[in-house]
Amino acid sequence: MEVEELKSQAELIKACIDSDSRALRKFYDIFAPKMYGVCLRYTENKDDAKDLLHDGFVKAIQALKNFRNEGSLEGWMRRIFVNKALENIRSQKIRMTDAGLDLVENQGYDGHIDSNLSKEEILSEIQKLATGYRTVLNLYVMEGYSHDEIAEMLQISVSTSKSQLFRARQILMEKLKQNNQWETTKK
Amino acid sequence: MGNNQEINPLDDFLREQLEDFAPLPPAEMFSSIEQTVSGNASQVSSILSKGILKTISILAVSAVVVTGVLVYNNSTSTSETKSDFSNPKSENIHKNIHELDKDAINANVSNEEINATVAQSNISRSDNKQTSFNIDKKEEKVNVNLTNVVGGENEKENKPNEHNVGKKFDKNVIPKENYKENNNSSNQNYKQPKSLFNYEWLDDNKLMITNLSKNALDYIWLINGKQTDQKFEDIITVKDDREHAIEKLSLIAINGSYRDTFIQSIKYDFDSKIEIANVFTPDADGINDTYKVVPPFATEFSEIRIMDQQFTVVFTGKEWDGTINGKPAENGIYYVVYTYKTKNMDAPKTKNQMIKLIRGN
Repeated sequence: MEVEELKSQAELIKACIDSDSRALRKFYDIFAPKMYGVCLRYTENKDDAKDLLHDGFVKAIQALKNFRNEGSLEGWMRRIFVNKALENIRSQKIRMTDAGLDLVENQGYDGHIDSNLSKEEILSEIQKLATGYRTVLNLYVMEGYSHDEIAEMLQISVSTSKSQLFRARQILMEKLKQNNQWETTKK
Repeated sequence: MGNNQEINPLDDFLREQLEDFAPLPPAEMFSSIEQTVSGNASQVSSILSKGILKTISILAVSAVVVTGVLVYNNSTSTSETKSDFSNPKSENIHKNIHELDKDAINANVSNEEINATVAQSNISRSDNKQTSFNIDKKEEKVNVNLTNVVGGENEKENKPNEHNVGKKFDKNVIPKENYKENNNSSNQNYKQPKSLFNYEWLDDNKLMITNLSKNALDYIWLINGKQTDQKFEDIITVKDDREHAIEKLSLIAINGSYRDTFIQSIKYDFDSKIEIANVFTPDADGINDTYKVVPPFATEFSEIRIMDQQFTVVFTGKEWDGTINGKPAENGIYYVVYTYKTKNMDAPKTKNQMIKLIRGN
């Protein structure tokens, strides 16, 4: 990021802390689309995603004063939204169980996946997943956390995290196959 | 962030598709966010102005002229800037505020430290949409002004003010349950329980279970997915009919609101426990004179069929006395097919065995 950009970002943050209406609007315009994408991934439907977007933004604006201009603001925002999503998920007290433990080790697909599904359609398949599957898939695949970290974050065991991810992948692959719009080409 | 060592095309595909996915956010959202965020600010400003009024009246009474003027200027300028701030063109004033803020913060480090704890606790309760760091900040200022001006005398005024704010955010706004829950999680009294057990089948249809769970205060056991009242200690006995066979055993370890589940499929191989003798001596000596199969569990249906070496069925029934059509069968090899069905089984099963018929005399 260039110095100029950083400067303007710092100014924007400062103005947002002071509840400058114009700055807040700009802040929202910059981050809302991507954060809405994150929210949709972690929730079952659009209404929940909207609630999460609202809560996440309020939390982010409130916490802005703790942001030190070190990492990227977007990454920071994303962490806030993910944490907020996890907070909601934890409050639902979802019970995740180990399933198909033996299969977990031998998973993996060869080749490259191609799909004609639109991003919205893929997203809606993710939204249809059970909360446990969806959350672990999001944290592992999209956020890049390890199973150990996920286990700690969700208060589940590592093997549960693995099996949830395994099932989530299995279901998604099945969905892609069902739509007959996928192909794998062997390396 | 850990590294994903595993390479998975599906993961790559999902990342590629959704990493930068930025759908159109709901349009009406911003105003409600702004309302939530700045709605508090207006609340605070009313508290703030009340505080200022109080300070001014106290000032008038105590007649500390010099400091009074200073603080008066200070407080009025902050409230002015607040209103001016919505005006986008007031950049100079904007700068001034920041300078003022800095001054106020520099001058009162100790106050800030004290208030920091309050601010932190407010942030940790950020579930509540109404809390805003703005409040903390403005509140800080009020406290700063008050203590600055009248010092010890002002503590009386200071206290109700704090009390007000505390009440507002601790009890009135936050629902009790929420407050409790957050308190718990911040205390982190609970450890994540780990559910684990070992099992071993003993010879006489007994299952020995060793509970290896950690950090748990309570357990729930499930047999075949159904909860049991049974509090398994070390050894449990399986009844020797297949009706009560254990196929899946789950243990849920509980600590507060955390739980961990461990499931193992436990299947006792009843079928291998059926013993079919391979020698038959119908010589009327009182030992092994009739041929029968006794399974170690209750059956709904059981039958043996004896065939000779040409696979002609020579006997069908439960117990063979070693005769074919009333005549003693010859020595030699026979085949036995044992068919059985228990209550839990959908279809009957069979077991085959070759038997040797020997007559001693």
